[in-house]
Amino acid sequence: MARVSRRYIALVMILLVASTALTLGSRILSTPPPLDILVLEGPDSLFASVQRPRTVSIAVRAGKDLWNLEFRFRCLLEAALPAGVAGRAWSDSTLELLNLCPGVRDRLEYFSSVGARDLVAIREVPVSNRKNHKLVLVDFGELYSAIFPPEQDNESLTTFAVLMNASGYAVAYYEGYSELFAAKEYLLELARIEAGVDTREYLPLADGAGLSIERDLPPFGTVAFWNVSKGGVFGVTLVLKQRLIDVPRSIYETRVATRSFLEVVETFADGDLAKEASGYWVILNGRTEE
Amino acid sequence: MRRGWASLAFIMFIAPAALGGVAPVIMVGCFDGQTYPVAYMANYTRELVKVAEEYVRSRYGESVYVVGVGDWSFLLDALTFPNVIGAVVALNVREGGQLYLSPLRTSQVVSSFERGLGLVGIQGLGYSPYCGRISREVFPLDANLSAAGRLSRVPVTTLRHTHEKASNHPVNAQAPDRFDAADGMLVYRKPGGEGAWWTPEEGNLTVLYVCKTVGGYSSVPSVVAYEREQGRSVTFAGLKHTDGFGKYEKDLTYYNHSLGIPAVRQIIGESLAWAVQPFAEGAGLKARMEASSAFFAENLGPLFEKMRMAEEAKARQENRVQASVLLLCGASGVAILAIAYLGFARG
Repeated sequence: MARVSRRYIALVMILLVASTALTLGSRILSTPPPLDILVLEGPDSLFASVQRPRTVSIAVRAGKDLWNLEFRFRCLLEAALPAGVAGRAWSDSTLELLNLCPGVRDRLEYFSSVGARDLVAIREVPVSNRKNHKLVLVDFGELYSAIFPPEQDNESLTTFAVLMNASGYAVAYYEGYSELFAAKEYLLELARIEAGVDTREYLPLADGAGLSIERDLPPFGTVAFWNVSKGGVFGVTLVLKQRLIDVPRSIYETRVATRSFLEVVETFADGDLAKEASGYWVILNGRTEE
Repeated sequence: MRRGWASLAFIMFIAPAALGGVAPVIMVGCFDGQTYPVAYMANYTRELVKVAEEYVRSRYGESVYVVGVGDWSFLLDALTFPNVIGAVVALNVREGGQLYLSPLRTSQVVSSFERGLGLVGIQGLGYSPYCGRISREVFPLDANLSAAGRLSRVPVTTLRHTHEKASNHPVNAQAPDRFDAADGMLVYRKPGGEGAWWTPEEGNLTVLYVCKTVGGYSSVPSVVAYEREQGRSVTFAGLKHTDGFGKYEKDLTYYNHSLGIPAVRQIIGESLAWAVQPFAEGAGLKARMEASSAFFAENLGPLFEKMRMAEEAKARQENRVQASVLLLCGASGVAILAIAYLGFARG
């Protein structure tokens, strides 16, 4: 009787140890995400006659200690589809597609020749506000930020994208800049960067001690935080202007007059792209579309 | 396409190996709004790449690489890269106004030229309404007017300018004393009199050819060579190809560019060879490529370091997980064995 009860107890204990091990193992293997998303939103249209949301916002809470947290903003303008791109599906031929885009091809060729090909990001990502659409995104922004001076962030084209529909057809082509928003000094009403309790606000015409959108925002659209502690809240909010007022003609023609913008914010935790904390919005330009 | 991949392979593997990492590059970019059917006329950029390759490689060897560029913004970027030793740029006065050239970009082009960039500029580059400082400090024509070529319907070529040699120079030493070129438009600044042309305040300007067919004036500079600090340039006031007016149904030969004329190819080729000469051979090339390698190592090094740190952090995380799982498996295995021994085997 005693032997039976001892075996019974041993069996129960073995099951207990095994189930505990399984529970602990699954918890170890399913590492918690490094970031909790608090806000991720972007507008569908801008500068339209009807009042609509005009905020681009990202905020995250660090789920663990990080040596680096970055929000990389890119703003692209719709341009004409390169020759040969329209009229066929590109689902499995991304490199062939990119080879037809002179802006991408020229840069890839050059940067490969100086051994910097690994620093170019090429990825397919979903569009946040277009169901079943995806983007082939090519970003030279990091490279440019390393090579060029900060004042060049709104001068050089650094980022390119092809918008594909559900059938894999290219329906739009974008090229743009590594900055928070195109022509930010004219189109932004407010930019706010939050790092825990430290909140900085940038205004278009800040004078004296005030922070200026044109002068003081981090260059090349990259807002970076270092040695981030677990639980810290970090974010960036951009408020776009309702109307296009006082935009010089040359800026309007080269940086604003487009059918649509593509606003990109990608979040990197310890150098890794946090896909769930990244947004890609196609934003119709009410000024040219209405 | 095949040619493109072959050239990519060359600059990726062969040239860098030959020069210790970075190859000297010459960019060719023609922004002329070509809209003609290709069947009627060869591609302008491709033809200029051929001319550049022929003259540069025969003079300085295979280590100098010629790349055609189709993106205006990237061309402006590339002119600031240290391993880019020269460029041939054609800008049509009709298209020039659509291409954005900011004050910052203008300053960068001027300073790159002064630091040692060999440039050949065609037409719009010397036209001040579009290129401002660049048309005075790099391609010194300071032109603000343009003149169509003489109309001559018999035989069939309609637009043509005549150029006559004005001085001897390495660029035109082997070239004819006079040549005609089919030419849509030639840019110029109103001259004060014979030989009283506008000249820049600094540098050494040589008028190589004058054009005799700009209405009302006996001659205006049509090809000029210029040296300023370490930079060299040759500017062609004309040589704009003629296309895009929608008239090819009426007159096929209206669509033509001057690169079919041997004398023009020769002068452009010699111009490029002369402009890049200080940095395309010998000690100049070696020093330039060493500086280029150092530039890229210094600026791109931190990015590679950041990438390495990200990979290490990821690997550390994976190692931690693996170690924890192994420890857990080991400990639970030992515990199960001990329990089994005590419960089933013993006694």
